[in-house]
Amino acid sequence: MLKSNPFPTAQGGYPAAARAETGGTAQTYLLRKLGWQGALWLALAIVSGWLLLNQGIPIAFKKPLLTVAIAATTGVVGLAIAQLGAVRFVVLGGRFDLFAGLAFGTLAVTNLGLGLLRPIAELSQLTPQVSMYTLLFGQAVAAVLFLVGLASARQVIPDGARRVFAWRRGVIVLVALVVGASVLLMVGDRLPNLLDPRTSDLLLDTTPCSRRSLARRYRC
Amino acid sequence: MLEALPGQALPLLILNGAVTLALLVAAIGYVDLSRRVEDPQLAWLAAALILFSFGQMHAFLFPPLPDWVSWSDGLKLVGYLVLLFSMVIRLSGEIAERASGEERLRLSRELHDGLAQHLALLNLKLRRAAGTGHSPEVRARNLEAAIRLVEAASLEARQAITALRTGRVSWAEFTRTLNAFAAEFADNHEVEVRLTAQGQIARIDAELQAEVLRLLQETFSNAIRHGAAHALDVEITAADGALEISVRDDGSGFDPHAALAGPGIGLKSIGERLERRAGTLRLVSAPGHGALVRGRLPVLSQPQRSAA
Repeated sequence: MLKSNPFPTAQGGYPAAARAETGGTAQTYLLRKLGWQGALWLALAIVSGWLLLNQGIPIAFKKPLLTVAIAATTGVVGLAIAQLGAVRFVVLGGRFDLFAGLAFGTLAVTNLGLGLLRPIAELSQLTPQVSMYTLLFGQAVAAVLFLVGLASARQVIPDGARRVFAWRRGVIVLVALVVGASVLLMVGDRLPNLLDPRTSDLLLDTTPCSRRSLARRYRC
Repeated sequence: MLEALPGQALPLLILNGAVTLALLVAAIGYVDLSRRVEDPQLAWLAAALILFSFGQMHAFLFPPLPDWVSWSDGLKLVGYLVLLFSMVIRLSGEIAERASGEERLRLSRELHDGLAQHLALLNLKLRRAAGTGHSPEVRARNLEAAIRLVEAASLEARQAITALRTGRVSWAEFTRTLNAFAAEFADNHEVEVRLTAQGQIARIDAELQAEVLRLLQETFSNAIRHGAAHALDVEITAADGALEISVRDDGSGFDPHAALAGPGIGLKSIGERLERRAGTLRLVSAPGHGALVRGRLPVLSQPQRSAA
């Protein structure tokens, strides 16, 4: 039975009679069986495959203002999701809500810090190398938080202990982020290079970059 | 491999690979969790994580350089927009739920203040009329009162149906309803009721019409029950975005302060109803001089009323 739900859950298969009633083809049956998640994986895999096969398609543009806009949008939405996660945790007590909220908060802080603060404050320490290390550090912390939330998804924190639990985890994550970012700001440039030395040319380039042009640049 | 992924050194590929793998596992895990828990919010989160993990995968094609926008950024942005959309949907649902809750509350208030009161009183009157310990006159009086209560309850039900069906009425429909009510009351209670209406408002909220009718019903009943009035003059004036309702009777009058401080709830209930709609109630009366009840009701839209 199909439910009118903003995100229909696909559970189990659809009997042949039901398919005949709705007039579904084999393709739509497969899609329904996979569910929206399967459809999304499939769509993204097709897009990725198309990008890999067509080397002439631009894969990146140098647009400083657009990066600022994206960083601002993702940062603000990330903070809102972090707040929502915290509220859901306080109300429902599920650990995954808190850790997902903390993960989005981490991504938001990283995006806002690197995408907004860097161009505005023009910090000399934030070289491309340090920026990338900091970005990867923030993404790694967020990914770990997502996994920690998932590992303890079945645990529900008792009502009275939720705020203290949330504050403690929040402070731990914040301290980890501050310490990690500070260390990277100090020693980031001494860490192993993340980019091919010839990428400095690319930083000055303003034309859209495709896989073909990128390959040509690094062959010579 | 490095040739296939130009521009990136091995440490970047290793770090990016680790983050991608962790995000992929998280995406699969949250998809599974959202299916088991059947929580729409988790389903949206899982969708965003799928987009994030693909976005992270696309970082293999182009390094995350400052000032550069790549497919990786685009996919992640779509993930965030999915989350934003989920929040908007959730918020819209909550607003709709709240509006429906308020409507249910209003209907329950209407039923409690109107039909339920009439039926309780009707039950009392009928029991008295059916009781054997009362004189035939008392039983006849109770029966007559019961008939009036049935009429009032019937009017109440009609108003509620009109309010639910139409939502808004024209000025002509409004005055026609008031005149019908006044004529019905005059016939039932053998009193003279004169009603005049001045000014005009294009459309009137059916809820407002119900409030006006309830005010008239309470005021008329008080005038004949407590003041033994024989004539009632009603003036309805529409001006400056408000309705002025004035009811003057030739009854015995009363002390307004004592009436409001006393145990009766009729006038207090009317006062509270008007206050809820940002209106006002004024009582002018003195023993032996009849009574004048003035009510003022702003004609507000739903949002304006909520703000008020």
